[in-house]
Amino acid sequence: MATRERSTRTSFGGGRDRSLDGDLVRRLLDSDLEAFERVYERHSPRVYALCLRMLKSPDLAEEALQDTFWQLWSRPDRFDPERGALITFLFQVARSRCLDRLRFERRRGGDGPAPATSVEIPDLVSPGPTPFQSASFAEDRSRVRGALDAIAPECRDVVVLAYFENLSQSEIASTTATPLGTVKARMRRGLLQLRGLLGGGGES
Amino acid sequence: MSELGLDDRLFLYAAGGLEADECEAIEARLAERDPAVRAALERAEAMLARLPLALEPRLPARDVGARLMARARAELEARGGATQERVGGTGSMGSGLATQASAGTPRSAWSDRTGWWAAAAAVLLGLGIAFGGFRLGHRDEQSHLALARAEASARALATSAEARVEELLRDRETLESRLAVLEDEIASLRTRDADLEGLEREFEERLASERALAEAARARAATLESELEDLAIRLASVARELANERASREVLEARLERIPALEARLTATVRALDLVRAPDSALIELVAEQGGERGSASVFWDRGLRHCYLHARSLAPAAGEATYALWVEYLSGRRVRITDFDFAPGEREIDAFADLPVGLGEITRTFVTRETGPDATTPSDEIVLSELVVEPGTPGAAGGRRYERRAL
Repeated sequence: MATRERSTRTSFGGGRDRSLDGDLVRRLLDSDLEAFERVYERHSPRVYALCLRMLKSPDLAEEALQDTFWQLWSRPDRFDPERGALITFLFQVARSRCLDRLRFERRRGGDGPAPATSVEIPDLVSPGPTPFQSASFAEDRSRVRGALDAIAPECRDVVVLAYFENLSQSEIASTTATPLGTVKARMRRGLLQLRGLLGGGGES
Repeated sequence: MSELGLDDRLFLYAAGGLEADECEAIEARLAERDPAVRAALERAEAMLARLPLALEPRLPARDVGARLMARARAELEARGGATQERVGGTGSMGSGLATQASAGTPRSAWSDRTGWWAAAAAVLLGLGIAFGGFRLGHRDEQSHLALARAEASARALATSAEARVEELLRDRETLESRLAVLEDEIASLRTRDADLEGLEREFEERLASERALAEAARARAATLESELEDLAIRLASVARELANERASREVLEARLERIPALEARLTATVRALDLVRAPDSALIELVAEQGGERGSASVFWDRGLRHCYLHARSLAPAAGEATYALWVEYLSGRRVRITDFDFAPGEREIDAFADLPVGLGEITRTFVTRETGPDATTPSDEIVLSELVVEPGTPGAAGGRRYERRAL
């Protein structure tokens, strides 16, 4: 039992999924289009959810989604299975693309999408995943949700604004009408709690 | 934030929770290329990358995947290294996506749709012309021929448009590949720029630090120079004082050296004064016995206590082992050597004290001889000083010397 708990705490996606992803990425190195389709099918719902959460526009989110997977297709060697799961690698790439897009929008003079402190967003246009996909995503999701739920709501909001909205502490203070010192304290407390809850030791 | 450790700050940095200046500090550390710092940041990023797992998954529009697959397929074909089997795909989504991709457009719908719309417009144009011709005519063969030429022209135009679309698609793929390379280069340049900025900041900080140290050293040197000048002045003053003190010390030491002699002289003087002031004292003057001799002496007698005090003057040193001896002659004719004395070179006066023997009777004569040694019990013939005897009526007797025996 202890082994199982440790396993669930430190591994996301499960051993079988990690193995399957590893096999698919190895095939991507040989430019296997079928493997690329499989990877897209497996992970695009969650990557798209992140893009939609950050950009709040289906068009922009789809563009970021395509860029993310195109990078995987173009340079699959950039994914190192020793450093983590494929989905977290895709999340990192997608977040980087979304941040680039947000910065571009801000430079262009737009205010960008209004920040949302909730992890959830309303269903904009896209349907949810298939029941099979939902079942495979449920375990990971419930684990991270559990960690986020364990943090005080005011701390969680600050963390969410920083990570998903890329707001600095002073911007968060301005957005939420909270003193900067309070924001800093909540940020620090929330992130450090989160690190403790998620293990902090990486996935490998 | 300063109380946080580096790991915590890296974690906040990865989460986007730091201010710009704090981010710059972290990036400066990253520019140092410390593998431990880089590894800590990667751990933080990997852990934070799990946060999106909490989001409810969403299915993107189906044509997004189709466009992506078409783009990948085109890129494969452009590379020319893909097998037909791989390009075709066998996955559940593959056939659907591939089917869409064959008629769809990769990534952005705009450019490929434009191409297809152009082709469709050309076909429609041709068909419209043909339809118009059909409606206007089939009256004569010439009209049919015109319609056939128009249709052929429209078909050629459509074929040309399709070819043009294919060419544009290939160009686009090429440009996208180049764009990807350029993006990589831009990312690399940004990294190098960040590294250079970090190095520049580090250099400026070191330069400022070195300048501050140099300024402090310069100020310290000025202070030390001033202190050195003060010390030199004080040293010269002390040297002068020391010289003065040494001179004073030499004077004092010379005086100290004279103290024993002065004390002896004082003691002798006191003793002589006591003897002179004694109620039963007498004085005998001695003068040179031989012609050409110089010198004189005064002899005080304390007849009660039988003490004798001799004060001699201006005699030459006795020379060699010789010495001067004071003798007294008693009424019985016996001569007794009372004391010896001598002059050092340059010495002009000398004092000597002695006790007289008891029970030898009355002293009839006192004189000084030069003796060759200390052991002689009888005076030599070389009498140096004799009593000055004044014999009334015989001035100049004894070779011009006058002898007077004064009553004591």
